[in-house]
Amino acid sequence: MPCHLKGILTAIVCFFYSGLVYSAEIELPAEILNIVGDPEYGEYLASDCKTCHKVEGSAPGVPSIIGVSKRDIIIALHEYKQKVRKNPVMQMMAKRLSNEEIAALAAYFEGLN
Amino acid sequence: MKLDRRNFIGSSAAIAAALTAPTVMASGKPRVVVVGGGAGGATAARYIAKDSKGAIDVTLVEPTRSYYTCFFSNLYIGGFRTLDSIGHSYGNLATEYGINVVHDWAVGIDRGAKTVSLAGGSTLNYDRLILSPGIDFIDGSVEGWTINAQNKMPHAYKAGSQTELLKAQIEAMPQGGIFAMVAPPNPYRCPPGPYERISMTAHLLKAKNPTAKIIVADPKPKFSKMGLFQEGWGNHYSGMIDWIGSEFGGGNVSVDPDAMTVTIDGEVTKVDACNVIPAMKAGRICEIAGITEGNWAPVSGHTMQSRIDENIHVLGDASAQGDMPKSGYSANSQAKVAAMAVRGALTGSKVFPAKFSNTCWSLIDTNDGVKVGATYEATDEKIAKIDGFVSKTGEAADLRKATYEESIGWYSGITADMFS
Repeated sequence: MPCHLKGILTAIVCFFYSGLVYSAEIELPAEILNIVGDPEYGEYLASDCKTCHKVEGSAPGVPSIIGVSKRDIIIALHEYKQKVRKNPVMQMMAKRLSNEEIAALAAYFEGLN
Repeated sequence: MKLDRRNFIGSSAAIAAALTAPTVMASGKPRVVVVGGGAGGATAARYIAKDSKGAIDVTLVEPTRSYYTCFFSNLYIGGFRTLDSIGHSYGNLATEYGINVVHDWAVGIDRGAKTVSLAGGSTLNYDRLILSPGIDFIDGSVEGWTINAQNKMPHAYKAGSQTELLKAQIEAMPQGGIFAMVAPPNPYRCPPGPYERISMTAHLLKAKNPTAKIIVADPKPKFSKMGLFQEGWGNHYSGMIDWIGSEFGGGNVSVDPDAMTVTIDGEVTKVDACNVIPAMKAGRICEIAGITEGNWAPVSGHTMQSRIDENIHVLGDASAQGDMPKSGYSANSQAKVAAMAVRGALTGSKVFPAKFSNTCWSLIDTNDGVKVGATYEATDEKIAKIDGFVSKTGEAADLRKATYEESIGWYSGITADMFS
């Protein structure tokens, strides 16, 4: 689980995905974690997520992203962007997201919780 | 469903839009008509109605009451899905979002008067029209085949009764019989679709009719995920599938539906079941509207607006947009960009830069799933590919199983995004 260390976050996340477990560790500076995202922009960007991730309930093979904390969403997307999480669809989707866009997505999804 | 007054008139942008669009506002709520209730049309109607919160009047014109998705219809042929599990109704779009769902055929479009006429005799007015009619077939593209022959040699490229018929014909083949497919030329709906269908047909035959043979006559020298499919066919269906590409005369093909023969490069073969997938064009309503160039309807990637009429947006298979494949996922992605642009134009809501994505999963055999995907952006010229990936040959079985399971999750997600 994530923890703070002098403004640097060290995240150790176990990702359970279709029976496969990926462990990852990344460091994100506080200035990235603390970006205030625009939830309206996040809602538009999130429409891309909803092609696979259901807003209500979940489905086998694609984990639910509703009810996940803002910080965990930011960390997970940066882990995909840095290719420490392995799913190629998610790596591709995260690769084109800026830090501000990741913050916007997290702000939107937090609002659904 | 709630009409939120703040969303309707609260923003300065909305007031600005009202001042610049007096004809729209003077006649009451702006009206959007969506023709076609598939991955493009159902998604666009749902997002416009949902996000405008009652500020836009949305009508969806779709002839069928139960919509069977073309995606995953091959899995029905292979026995991995029931037909019911790929059928969807439009009830939620009406009850949850107030969409006026009209089960009728759009048969005419008057772009000057901004009206759509229906086969039933009614006329619908629009401020913006969204056409998402999918594909129709080009007459005469496979010698000997017409739509009148679709029961003897089904296309099964519009899902539903055609898919049921094709599966029944494969199951009725005599032991050691021959199944033939005439594959389509580019561009066409669902690039890996014919080859997933070959895989699912082989899966079905392997269990019930293991000495049967499959012949594919293909007018192309290569196809989507070719290495992955050919590796899978070798692994799972060794000796069963004979793919004849254009270099070996696969494009020189004719059929005789009455005699049940297929002639490939002069060689006549008697077959027991035959799937003819003709060359494709935009759904006919695009041609009727006068917005096609060649076989497809050109659009701007920024908004999916027709390059011929800015009051019309064209989504999915029917559009000529650039680099995106014609797929349900692409249509769903394009629908969200169009929905945002339509809301922005009609209510002044914020419009963000267009972003697109696509992934196509295919099943080769039980728990052997593969995928290809890409992201895209709008340029002034076209929708341009940014980045992409494709499954690799020789992948581990657990990864292939996870890919298949991911496709099941995607199906559940995209159909919820269209209909829930």
